[in-house]
Amino acid sequence: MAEKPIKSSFLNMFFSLTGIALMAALVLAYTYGKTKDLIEQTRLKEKKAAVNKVIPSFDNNPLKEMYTNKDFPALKFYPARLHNTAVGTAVVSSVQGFSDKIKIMAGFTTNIKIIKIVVLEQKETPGLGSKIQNSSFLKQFRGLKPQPSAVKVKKDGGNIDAITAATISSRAFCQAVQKAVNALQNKRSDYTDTETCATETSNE
Amino acid sequence: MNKIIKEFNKGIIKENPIFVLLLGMCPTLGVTGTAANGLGMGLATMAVLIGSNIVISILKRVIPAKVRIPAFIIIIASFVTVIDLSLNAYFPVLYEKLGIFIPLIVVNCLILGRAEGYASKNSLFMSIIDAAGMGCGFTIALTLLGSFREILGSGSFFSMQFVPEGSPTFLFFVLPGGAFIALGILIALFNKMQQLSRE
Amino acid sequence: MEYFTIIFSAIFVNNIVLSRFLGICPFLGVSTRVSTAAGMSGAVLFVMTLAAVVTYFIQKYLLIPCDIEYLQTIAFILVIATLVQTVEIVLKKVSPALYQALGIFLPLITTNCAILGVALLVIKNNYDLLQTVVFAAANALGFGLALILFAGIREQLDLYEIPASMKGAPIALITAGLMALAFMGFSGIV
Repeated sequence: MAEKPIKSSFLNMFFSLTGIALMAALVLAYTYGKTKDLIEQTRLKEKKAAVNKVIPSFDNNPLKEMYTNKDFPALKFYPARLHNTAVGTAVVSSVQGFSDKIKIMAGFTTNIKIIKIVVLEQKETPGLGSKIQNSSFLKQFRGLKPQPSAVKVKKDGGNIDAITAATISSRAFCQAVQKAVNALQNKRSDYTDTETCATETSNE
Repeated sequence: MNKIIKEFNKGIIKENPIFVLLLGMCPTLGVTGTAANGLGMGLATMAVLIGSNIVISILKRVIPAKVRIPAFIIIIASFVTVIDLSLNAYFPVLYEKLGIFIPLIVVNCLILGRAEGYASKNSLFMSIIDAAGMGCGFTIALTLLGSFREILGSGSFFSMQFVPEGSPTFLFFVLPGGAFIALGILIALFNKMQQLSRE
Repeated sequence: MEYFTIIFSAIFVNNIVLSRFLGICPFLGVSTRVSTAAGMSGAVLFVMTLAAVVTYFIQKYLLIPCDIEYLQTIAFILVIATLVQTVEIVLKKVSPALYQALGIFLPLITTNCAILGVALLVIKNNYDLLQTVVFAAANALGFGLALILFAGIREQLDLYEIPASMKGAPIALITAGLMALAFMGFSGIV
């Protein structure tokens, strides 16, 4: 049968809550300690895998050499190297899509030619805008040279076939890619400087 | 023995948290886009439920009545954080899919309800049975709803496609509106079955 | 302009109940009459905005500097529970009429996942203080909108014959589903 708990005197309440809170803090600190490294490792692995998807082979750690461009604050650049020569850059670009932000990872060669693009995050309409992550849409971008013609859907004068009934999502996707291209072109003139800077940071 | 079985089963049919008690609705609608997500959420919630029922039942005599709600909240929130960290570390894919609903387990009225209504008044063993039964009922309901939405909405079951890619499906069920309606249909079916079994 | 996006998105495009699935329990439980729905909405507006601001400060000045972000869930829910309790006590003294009007809704708000949900979303979206206030208030308004519309429909439904197995939750859910579908039409406006 149910037994009555101890009286709700001030001291009892104080000790009871403090005791429970202390136990909780200990358990949580312990669990946090045990899982912290594993969590960080998994995050890094995921990021590295994403870069790997868009740039086939590299042997440096692009995550360590990540840089940003103050003219394009939302973008992140991950330079990739094989045997110490630059083989390209992976760029994380995001733009407001139809429903929410679309985040892509685009791999470029050193000549700013697109290698491959993957969608990292999107919340477009399922069955319509969400098709931007289908290979049938993405394969249009493989090997595309975004110069001289910009990356645009056919409706806007470009070469990309938009997804039927999802023009806005397709357009946004192209915008995200073009943003990355513009940023890389900006940097192109001092690309060698960037390389040196990056090597310097990695030597620290 | 019979009593134990009865206590366990009540969580599955008679007092099924979702189909009968209507507790814990938010995760029910929010993460049941696929069967796997529903199952994962159900198991995570069941883990918290069993854990907190155990601790609360053990400590029931030393928690003064006036501070029982804050005490329960601290205990439940601790278990939720442990599950949160564990999922993040050992099942990162599930962790990403369940997203914001993992910390929201702490406000799942089911868990506080069982703590207040059962674990604080019953023996440790029976509290475990109660939590296990309710947890199973919850998990079954979530997995059922997830399966319903995934099969009709994406043409797959536990990510195994059984219609060719790109063929039309009842996409509606993957959307928020479809979640509400799918659950409404399932509860109606459940009610009908209960009605028939009584006749 | 950016604030307009936050407000419009929170109320219509990503409505906290009909799109994000937060706050369903009170949504189903307190929406049988428009008057009770209005009362709950008022209480939620108050608590949600206050809770979002307080948790914002806790995250910024306690959890992050002390590197104890893993205590976020516990800290936030305790803050919310305490806030609700405090609001109840203060309201009782300062405005007994309002306290009577809100009645039983206040304690129920603690387990309203929308409150904790909005606090977590603020952190996830990295808002500053003013954006937090706007976001929280807008979400509360969206909650109120969904709740009051729903209550209005349910009051009408009461006047009709509904098959036994559909009574109560099923018909309510199907109604909510149709409402969610309607709200989907707002998608893409901002």
